[in-house]
Amino acid sequence: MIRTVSGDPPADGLAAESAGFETHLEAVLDPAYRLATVILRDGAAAEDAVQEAAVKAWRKRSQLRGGPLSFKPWFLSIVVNECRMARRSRWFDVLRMAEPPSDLASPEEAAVAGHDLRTAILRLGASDRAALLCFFYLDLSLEEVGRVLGLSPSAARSRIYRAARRLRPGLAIEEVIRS
Amino acid sequence: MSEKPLRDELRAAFEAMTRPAHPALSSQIRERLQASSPRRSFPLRLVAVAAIVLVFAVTAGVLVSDRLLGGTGRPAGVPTTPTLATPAPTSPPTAGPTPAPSGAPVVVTSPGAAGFTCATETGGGSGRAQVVGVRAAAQAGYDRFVIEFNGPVPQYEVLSQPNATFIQDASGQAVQLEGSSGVLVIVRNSSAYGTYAGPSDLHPRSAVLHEARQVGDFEGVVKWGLGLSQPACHRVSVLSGPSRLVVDVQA
Repeated sequence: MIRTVSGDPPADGLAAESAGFETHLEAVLDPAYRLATVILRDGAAAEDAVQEAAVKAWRKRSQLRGGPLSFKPWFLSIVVNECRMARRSRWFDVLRMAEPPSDLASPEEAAVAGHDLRTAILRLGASDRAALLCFFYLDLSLEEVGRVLGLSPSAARSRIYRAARRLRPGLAIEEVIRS
Repeated sequence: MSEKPLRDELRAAFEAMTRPAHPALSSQIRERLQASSPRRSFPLRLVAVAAIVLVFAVTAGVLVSDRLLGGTGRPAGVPTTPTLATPAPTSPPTAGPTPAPSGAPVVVTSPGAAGFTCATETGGGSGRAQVVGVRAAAQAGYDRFVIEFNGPVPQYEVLSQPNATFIQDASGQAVQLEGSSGVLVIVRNSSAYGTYAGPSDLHPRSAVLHEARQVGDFEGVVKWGLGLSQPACHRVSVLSGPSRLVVDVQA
């Protein structure tokens, strides 16, 4: 079996590199978990995806370009890929079908305002949900959203706009995305 | 509606729909990283270098033997390791999601080569192409596995292995296929996401090829594992009209 062999640093520098990596990772675990949850709609599957993404990111750390500021979109892009792999697996579909329709909200939360919007969000495609979360909740730039989803900035802008219009028909793009 | 209310509404909705990461997640990841990190950097690098040297030596040996035997020149972009022309296929071996054009397929592998090899085979062009179809079927004397692309066949690698266990990208988890031996097909600069909606696990029930499963579609690398009932050599062909990578397994 051919596996990618990343350039491991000398052992004496590895501990420091590992500590630095974990520091960066710690800072993005929360957004990563929320992103995976929105895509997979399953908390346990989201945890698995983030764990696998972390291991993958460690192995691929030499491919990170652009310094520490790039770590967040880079890692989130790996999380998105992990989620895609999980969604593509046959067992995931079986498991999803077995679950009752849910918007992840508790009964108490369902009673408060915004329930309709959450239901509408859950009716969107996984990529649309991810785009909206990245842009509106994680406050990523269009370039970063594009990097996370594997799109160009203009394609990310269109994706966000189209998704927002499905939630609120009649919105102008300037109302959604103001440069 | 202005942007601010929409942003605020969406923020509130996502806040309600998701939860913060559980503190245990961080410690679980740390344990996994510590378990998987440093131990074997030098041996792995040594193995990688040895593999590269071996591939280079095999390739050089083939080129030299071709020249000694008076072989014809090899067109650009075709496999560099021993490959062979397939027996004039007239159509895809099984019904696939993309019908083949009516014109006769053009074999673009090295001319004059024949037979199977157990060595690693590489080839393909430098461009990108997406997977649009995957098929597997039994033929007379061999079992055939086909990946069809929407452009010229990208860079590929076909390796034999002594078991039917493959590593799933990107999870790193081991996947056991039917059979006791295997062949790994790696295609770089490619993806199947959004272009191939067929099954990712095929069971042709043929003599040797018992299962073909996609074990990777990540970061531009598509991998399929072939589970074989017995150790068997393979031969690789690149066909056009439509563009296909064909892996035949000796039955």
